[in-house]
Amino acid sequence: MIEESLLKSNFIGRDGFRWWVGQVAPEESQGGQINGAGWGNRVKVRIMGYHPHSTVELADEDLPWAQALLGVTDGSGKGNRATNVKLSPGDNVIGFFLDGDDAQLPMIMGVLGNTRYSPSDDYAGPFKPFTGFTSKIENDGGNIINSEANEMNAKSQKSPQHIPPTLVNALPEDARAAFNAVGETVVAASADPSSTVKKINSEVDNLISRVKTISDGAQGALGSVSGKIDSLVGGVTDKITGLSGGIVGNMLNTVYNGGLADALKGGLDTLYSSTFASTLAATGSKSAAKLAGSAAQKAMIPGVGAIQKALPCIASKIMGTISKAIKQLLNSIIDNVSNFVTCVAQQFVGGLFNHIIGGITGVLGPLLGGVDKILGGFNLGGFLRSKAEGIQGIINAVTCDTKKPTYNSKTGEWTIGKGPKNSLSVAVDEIIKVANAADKLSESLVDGIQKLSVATGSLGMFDFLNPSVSNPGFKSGLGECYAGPPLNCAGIKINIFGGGGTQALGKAIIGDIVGDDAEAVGSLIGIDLVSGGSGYITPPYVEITDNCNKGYGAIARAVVDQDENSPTYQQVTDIYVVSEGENYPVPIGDDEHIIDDVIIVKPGIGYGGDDTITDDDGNEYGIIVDGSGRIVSVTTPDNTLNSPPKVTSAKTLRIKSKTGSGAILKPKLAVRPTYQGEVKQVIDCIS
Amino acid sequence: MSERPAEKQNWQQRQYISFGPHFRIDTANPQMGLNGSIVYDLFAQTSSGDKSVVGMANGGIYHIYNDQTIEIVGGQEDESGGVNINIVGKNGDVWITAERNGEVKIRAKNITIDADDNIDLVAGNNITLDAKNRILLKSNVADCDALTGNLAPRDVTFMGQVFKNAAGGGTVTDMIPSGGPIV
Repeated sequence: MIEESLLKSNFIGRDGFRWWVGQVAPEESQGGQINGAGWGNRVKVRIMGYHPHSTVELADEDLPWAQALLGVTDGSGKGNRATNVKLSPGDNVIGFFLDGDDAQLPMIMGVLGNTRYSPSDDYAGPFKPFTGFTSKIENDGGNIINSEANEMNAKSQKSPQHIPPTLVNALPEDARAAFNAVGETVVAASADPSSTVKKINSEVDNLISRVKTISDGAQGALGSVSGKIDSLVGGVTDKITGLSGGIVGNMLNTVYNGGLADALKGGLDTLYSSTFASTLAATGSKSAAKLAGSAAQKAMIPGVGAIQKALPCIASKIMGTISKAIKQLLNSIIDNVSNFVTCVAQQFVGGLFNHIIGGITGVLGPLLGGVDKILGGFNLGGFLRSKAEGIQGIINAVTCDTKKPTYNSKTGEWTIGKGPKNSLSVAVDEIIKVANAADKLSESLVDGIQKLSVATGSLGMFDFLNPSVSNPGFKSGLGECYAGPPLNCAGIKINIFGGGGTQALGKAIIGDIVGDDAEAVGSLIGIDLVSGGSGYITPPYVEITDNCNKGYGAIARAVVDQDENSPTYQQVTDIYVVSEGENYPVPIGDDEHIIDDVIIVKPGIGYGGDDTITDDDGNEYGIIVDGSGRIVSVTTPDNTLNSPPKVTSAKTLRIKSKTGSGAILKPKLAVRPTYQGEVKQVIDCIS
Repeated sequence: MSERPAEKQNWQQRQYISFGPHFRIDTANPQMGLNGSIVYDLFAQTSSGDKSVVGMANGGIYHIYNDQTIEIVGGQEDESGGVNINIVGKNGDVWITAERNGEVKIRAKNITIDADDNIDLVAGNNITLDAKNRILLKSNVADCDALTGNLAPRDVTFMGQVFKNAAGGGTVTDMIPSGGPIV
């Protein structure tokens, strides 16, 4: 033994190689090494077979320092090329001793990856697994889940997802939202007269989402939930108050420029005629009659002037009181509405409409008394309640040859994290209709016919003021404006818009279905182009939605024929799926689909006629290339002669080529054509 | 809520480096988002929970999100005084939107707004043009459409509309001011 020891040099490479496996000691034993005062890349390691399993026999603080060996691509620090080590307490490491059997100079060569089954407990003793989190490295798990594994699987180090927080809350426990504004709508700046109503609706819709997120606790617990909601409502109230200024201005303009000026002008003429006639009858003098008529008209100047003078003040008076009304409306919506459906949106704007009418009639009404003689029965409230221009706004063509501005944007709304949103037109007539009906109901309420414990003021008796509005089957005097969760989620909607054209229609094809019956959800595996529409100058947007906003991630793009000599010029000829998404509710009784054609998204270059294209099922496709090796056509197996299996899953087409590159092909699905079947037996019925 | 089938999620392609709970680089993560799965993300969070995400989704959107302020500053050492920040939309709109009650503020020595076709200035309440020296309106056609105010021509004001061509003739209409409210 002594001889053996004497023969050893205890120098790496001369006495063999002494491997070891050990565990990085807990934070407390690492001293200044991990607190910014350390030296080198070293940690204290307890080594199996060399160090005891007891901290009494050998305290963690007394363990040897082990140097970490870096990879050649990491950089040592020389030349400013560096990567620091990422060793954590509890890491299981493998290394060797620089000093052989003396075992005082351990080197760490590598670290064993951690699995999700390894406990993340606090340190309990040597060689027992424990967490790598320390007093200085903490994670509350709020945004990035606590994961101490580095496996190549779906469970390890899951990242936050780019979906709305309201959807994340319905996903498994380890789902997180990457950004809480994802899913909210942004309305672009616009001179389009209808944009004010769209902006208001967007504000309310986003508010409901934010409130739901806060209520569900997805944004943490900084401050009270009610305090956060109050703050949000206050902000949105201010925003909508500002937006309402446009509606107030439009409505005043409608009154002054439209009905009132015409009524007074007509009244003046009548006044002149009647005064002229009575004076002429009394005096027989035309000049006296003319003077009297003019004098009667002049007498109206102060009254008409007072109405003109009041104009700037009316708007400011209404704006001074509208905030309170908006806040009341918003709070009612938050309390009662769980789904901001179109009819609630219309009713909300209708409530603003009623408040503004109340304000205008309140200020202007008394002034009209001064010109009562020439009003000719003009009814201010009735006039306002019949005019759509007040809400929508009007663009006056000030001269006959002034060109109305055009708005070329393909979209005016954007969903954060998703893309363009189809901007639905504002149904102004419906808003006015519901506002008037709610106003009538409100009058009934005042008469004591209907007793509900809500304060309506001058806004009107709207459905969203009713706590039952989110109960299935809700009905009221205004109609059926159920504002609860959608009762039928099934199916995907394909909205094709923008691009200058109209009437392109597509039908979603869902596959990769998981779950059964009503719970079945799937992905968008194709879009059946029902109609190519017409007039498309550029490819339109393809928006994919569902009734319940459950599905996410499906993205598709349209292709427009831009060949002037083609019979399908300016039509949508194809729609291909870029991302299939997931969680879309499955429609009942869908058709069977097969791969009917191949869309050449990019033709690539350098391909040859001998190259092959196959799909996931092994079906082979024919390929035709041009002189530059660009793929110009791909032929599918003849579906009328063969009976290919129905496509129930997103398919990928793979090109095998030694020379070509850059081509992108997408399968085009269609409803399975009628298949005659192969001939089994010929029966001779004549002989 | 259900994710798509496991065989449709390509976890084999995913590569990530997690630098601890505050920063992560994630590529080809099959977790689905509104614009498709992740091509790459640089995800960061502060110890206060504020998040920042820069990355790209398979639907094609490149996103820059931040819970607090996004600061873009260029040209500190550009002594030539050339272009310091250049934002270009190659085929479509360029949108700038201040949500909630934020304001859009633009300040420079000179400001040029150059439209190939039309410029629309729209305000729900007031538009103020305040020049300390001169305001020049130059056009082949310049109209004012206002119900009152000292720029409004007599025929266009509310009173002008009411009394225009009144049967009493000039003696009445001559009394209507050519703009501004009657005091």
